[in-house]
Amino acid sequence: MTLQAGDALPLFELPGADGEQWGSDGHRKRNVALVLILHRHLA
Amino acid sequence: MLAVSERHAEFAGAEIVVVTFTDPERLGAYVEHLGVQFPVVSDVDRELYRALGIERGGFRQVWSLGTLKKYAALLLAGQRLQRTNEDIRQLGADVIVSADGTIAKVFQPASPDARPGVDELLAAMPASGERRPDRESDRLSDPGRSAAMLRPLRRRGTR
Repeated sequence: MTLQAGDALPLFELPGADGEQWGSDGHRKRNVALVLILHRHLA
Repeated sequence: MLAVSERHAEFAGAEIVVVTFTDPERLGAYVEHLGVQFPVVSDVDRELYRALGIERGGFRQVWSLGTLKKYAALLLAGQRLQRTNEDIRQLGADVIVSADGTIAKVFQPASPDARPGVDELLAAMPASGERRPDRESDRLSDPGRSAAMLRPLRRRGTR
């Protein structure tokens, strides 16, 4: 199954440029929306 | 991406994150290259891409007329195109997530050059605390569905 509008974004972490882990639930804790820009090479 | 960066303030405090599939060791150079002020993270195994159904494009998708025009514009602007060892066929996407963690909108362009404009992204932003799936049919009907989506993604503390 593919995630789509209406689904909950899963909880996961990804490494950031500063060596810190970025968490997908950080925005929820701050009660703000999240915009994910999934990069491709022609940016 | 640069346009989003320049109009960052219009996103009303939303967290904006760039997800790449570049190696984590190269992220610093990426941040410098992209010139954005928001976090850049690495999904090197492309698990999030796969979970969202963001696939690798076919030859005609990747080398669409729009892509070629974009490259031509970059060259005319004096930029040098650099060879990359990374997968140029991987397509991108833009995802809007409500404050409660519900995916509100997935922009999945058909070719690399066809990203949504900032105005389109702003129009898809839910009001604070609002859940706004873009289609009625997209509403979550199976509560176990999202839990199942966790499996292909990297768990906390495993990396």
